[in-house]
Amino acid sequence: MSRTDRLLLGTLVLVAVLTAVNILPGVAGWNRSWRAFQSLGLQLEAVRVRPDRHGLEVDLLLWNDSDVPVRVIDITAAIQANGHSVAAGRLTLDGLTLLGGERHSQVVVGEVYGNTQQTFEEQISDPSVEWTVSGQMRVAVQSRDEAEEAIIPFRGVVDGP
Amino acid sequence: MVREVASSRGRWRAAVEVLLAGWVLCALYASAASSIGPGALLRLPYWLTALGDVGVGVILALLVVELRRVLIAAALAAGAAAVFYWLLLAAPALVAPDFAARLTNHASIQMVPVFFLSLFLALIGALVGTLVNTAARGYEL
Repeated sequence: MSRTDRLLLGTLVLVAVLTAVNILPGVAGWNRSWRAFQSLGLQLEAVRVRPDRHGLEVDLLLWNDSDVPVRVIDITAAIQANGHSVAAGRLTLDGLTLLGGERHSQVVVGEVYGNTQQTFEEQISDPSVEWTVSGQMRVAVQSRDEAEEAIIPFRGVVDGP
Repeated sequence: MVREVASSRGRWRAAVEVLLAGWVLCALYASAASSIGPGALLRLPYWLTALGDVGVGVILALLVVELRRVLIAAALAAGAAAVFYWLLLAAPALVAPDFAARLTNHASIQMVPVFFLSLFLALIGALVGTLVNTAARGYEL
């Protein structure tokens, strides 16, 4: 093997290790979330992120794939826009129970709240600024005596008017 | 100076190259994709993932040199990337087999963009690498 070959193979190995380390927490998080839901028979059908120049909407479509009712205890969400934290909060859904086979669409973020609202709205209404909204939701669910938590990341981009 | 194309590389080395390239293609896609990317240490923008895929193609071409073998290696690497990605996403199904069908369906669908994007971008890289091989390194194909 020539020196160039060794150098190229070495680069490939280095990049393979670096990229593996980089995605490891993501894979662990993905697996944890899926397992948490699966053990209770709940399926996450979709996460819809609809940011526009007027506001932000994030919602979840959940499906109870089991025969037993699953209760959604609460959802906490943290939202960042262009890397800056714009909102964080908890949504208590005391009455929400999904019966076996039932689907439910839950709006998680309807409006941006807290004292950052005005600055945020000024920022997003400016058509020259492209912004990326991202965040994490933590959904707590319960079935019979068992409770689980799942972490669901979301992301959306607004560019243009 | 014209050099002969060295094609006496062992099968093992060829397999290692393809698997390594496949893994890098898969991990680059994963760090930008919406399923795994948000949890990654560094979420790559799509253009950087694309650039990385082209880079993998260039490295493959510089390593393998012979164009026919480069193209085959790039296609095999893209296939390996799709399989690796399936394994990453479907791993929980191995733990909770009751829900394996839904989850593995999702993972199988994800294999399609991984394969075609990796293949397309790695082939562009392979052609760039071949250009370097013939123009700068003096190989004749």
